[in-house]
Amino acid sequence: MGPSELRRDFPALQQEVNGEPLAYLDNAATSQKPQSVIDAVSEFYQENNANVHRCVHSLGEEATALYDQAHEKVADFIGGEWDETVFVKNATEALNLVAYSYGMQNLSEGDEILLTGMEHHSMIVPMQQVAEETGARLRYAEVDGKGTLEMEDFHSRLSEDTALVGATHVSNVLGTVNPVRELADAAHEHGAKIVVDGAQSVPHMPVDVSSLDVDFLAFSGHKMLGPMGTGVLYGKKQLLAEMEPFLRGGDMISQVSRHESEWNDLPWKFEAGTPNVAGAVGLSAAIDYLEEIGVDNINRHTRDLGQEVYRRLNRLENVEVYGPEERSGLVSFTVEGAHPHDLSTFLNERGIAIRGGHHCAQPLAEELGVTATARASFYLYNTEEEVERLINAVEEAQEVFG
Amino acid sequence: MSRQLYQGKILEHYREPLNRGNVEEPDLESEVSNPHCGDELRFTAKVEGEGFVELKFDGEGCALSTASASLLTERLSGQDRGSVTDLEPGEVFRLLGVEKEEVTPIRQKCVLLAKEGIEKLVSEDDET
Repeated sequence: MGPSELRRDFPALQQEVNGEPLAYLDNAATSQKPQSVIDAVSEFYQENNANVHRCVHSLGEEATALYDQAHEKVADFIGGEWDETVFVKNATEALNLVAYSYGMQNLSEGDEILLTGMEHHSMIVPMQQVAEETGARLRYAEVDGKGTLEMEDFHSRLSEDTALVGATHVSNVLGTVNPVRELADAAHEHGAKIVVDGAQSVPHMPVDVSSLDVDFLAFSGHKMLGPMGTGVLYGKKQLLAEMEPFLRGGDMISQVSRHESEWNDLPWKFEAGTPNVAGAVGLSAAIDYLEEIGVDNINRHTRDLGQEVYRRLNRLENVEVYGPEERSGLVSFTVEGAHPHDLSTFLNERGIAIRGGHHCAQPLAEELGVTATARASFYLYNTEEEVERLINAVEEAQEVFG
Repeated sequence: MSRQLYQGKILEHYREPLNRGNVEEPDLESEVSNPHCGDELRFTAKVEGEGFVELKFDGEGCALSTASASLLTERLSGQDRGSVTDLEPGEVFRLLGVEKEEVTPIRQKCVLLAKEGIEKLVSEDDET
């Protein structure tokens, strides 16, 4: 089934914006949801809603089973084990968990954290805090003029002092796909661990944590057709077992007395309090949907759209495109004379939803010499027709603002 | 709800804004920014008695904040300093040829940035 048929499964895509059919091209921010995911969440509340774990009544047992199954399903999806997948509310929380529970506990003065110049604030800001509190030094591997990671620079910045490497799998601004396995191997050779931001990769391409050999992988459920308020941290079992908890309270303990507590097993040690069970059920349904289409197919489709938009925008005289031609399904660009927010408003007037701004990557924007860019990002339900509409609207904007 | 914004007055004053520049030896200065949009506006003015004798703006911003700065500085030149606070937000939009409701809330901030900047000019003077 092609995108034109698939879109019928997505209620939110059936609407009009300013008299035009909605062309939703802001998938890097969040994805739309198929009816099956919406139904899964509703059905949970209608039939299976109860708190989970240590629950003897039927509803509780059903909810617990669904919740545990969701962990298994997510783990299978990324090639890990169910007790290596921690459910959090988004990729940002996942990265914070690594920063607090791994970074703060293990790093100290003299250690180095190596990030890339294309990271999202959710990687940068927690790591800044790790550096500040532990005395570790924060360094960056540079991005070249094409928007790809300067591998020589990356390798040269690794040393025996490097304790943690943080890298995005796919840049949410440039569309660059980083060679994660190579980065992981390099990190490990220097005795460092690697935490990967998979927010833009896991929804779009097959990701296998053992092939990549990552120590930690963070990703968002809501960017892969799942409900908002869902995200996942994968971590190698041995690491998670040694780490202290992040958030504390109920469920993450096995025993509590007045002055001390013992931690629960994995992954529950990192899931304090009542979880977002409805969200997890929705995420399960989302994975079912993705697997039915085939993540390989989704990858091919979104890359094709992204690369086509890259090529066609690149040909326009007053348009600058950022990042390499070889890319994932998103394109950031600027139109001369048009502020990205004006461009976004202009496109919105034509029913096209894109995003303008720094995309939570201000350090990268500064390196690129811009304060803001416009970004179109594609997913399995976007069509050639929408690409046409986007290009036409950008051409029109050139005339108006140029 | 939204209509085509980028035409008429807005486009005209974005492409060729009035009062763009800096007043020499200004009596009053202010700077405002809209971090969401990346708009940064700087206002300078010369005053005589209660009135603006010269009122200019500089800086970088989106079409809405630029057009608004152009139209507002034009409207308030020669006027009483206090008249900027008397100006209803709705009137600022009408200067641009639109109604407030036709602009999304996030972009409304862009339109009103110039008013904020000129109000800041005036209030900083009152404090000294």
